[in-house]
Amino acid sequence: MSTVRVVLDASALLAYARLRGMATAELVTMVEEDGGASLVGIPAACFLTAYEQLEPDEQERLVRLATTSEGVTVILPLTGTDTVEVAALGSVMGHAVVETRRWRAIMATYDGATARKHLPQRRVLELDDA
Amino acid sequence: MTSPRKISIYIPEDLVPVLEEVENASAYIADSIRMRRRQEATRAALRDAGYLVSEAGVQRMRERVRALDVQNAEAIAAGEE
Repeated sequence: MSTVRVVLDASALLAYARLRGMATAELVTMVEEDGGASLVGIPAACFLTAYEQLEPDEQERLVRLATTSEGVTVILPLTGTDTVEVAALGSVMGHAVVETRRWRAIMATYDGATARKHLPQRRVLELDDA
Repeated sequence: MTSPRKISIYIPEDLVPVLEEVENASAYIADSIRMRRRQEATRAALRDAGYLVSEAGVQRMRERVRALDVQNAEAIAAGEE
């Protein structure tokens, strides 16, 4: 059975699509190399938030990351009353917070300070391409 | 998933013991192919996007994630989640 090991928030998706997200690319590669059934989760709401801020070529890059057949990523749907909680938490990382809790995963973000308001520090991987 | 199909293949002599030791050689080979395809698809997507990922960078990321994994396992064991 597949399990989501890492969840990307909108900041990680934006950086990746704008070619400023080497840390995101390294993280995706790490999950792939570690094998098994582990996946990188892309919350649907985070995908939408990032997508609308991107230029067409950047959108294409994001779509390829999220939809590569037989790849290591999976789009996580937003359904039911989760929608209300995500709305309250915000569009950048709200859905990522909900999915990180659900899967007992790790959330990757470039905004660690905000993430740590919603999750324990041990569930937050702060990305840094410096 | 499609229906399995019987085929004959040749494998190097040194790999034969591996298949003899596993419970289901067909499933083992099928899983290996899936893993290889997952690797190729993921790396092609990153490469085509413009990312040249280094092994050193991936290793640094692995160490950071594993450190968090340890903390999370300890928290779960302690009943904090």
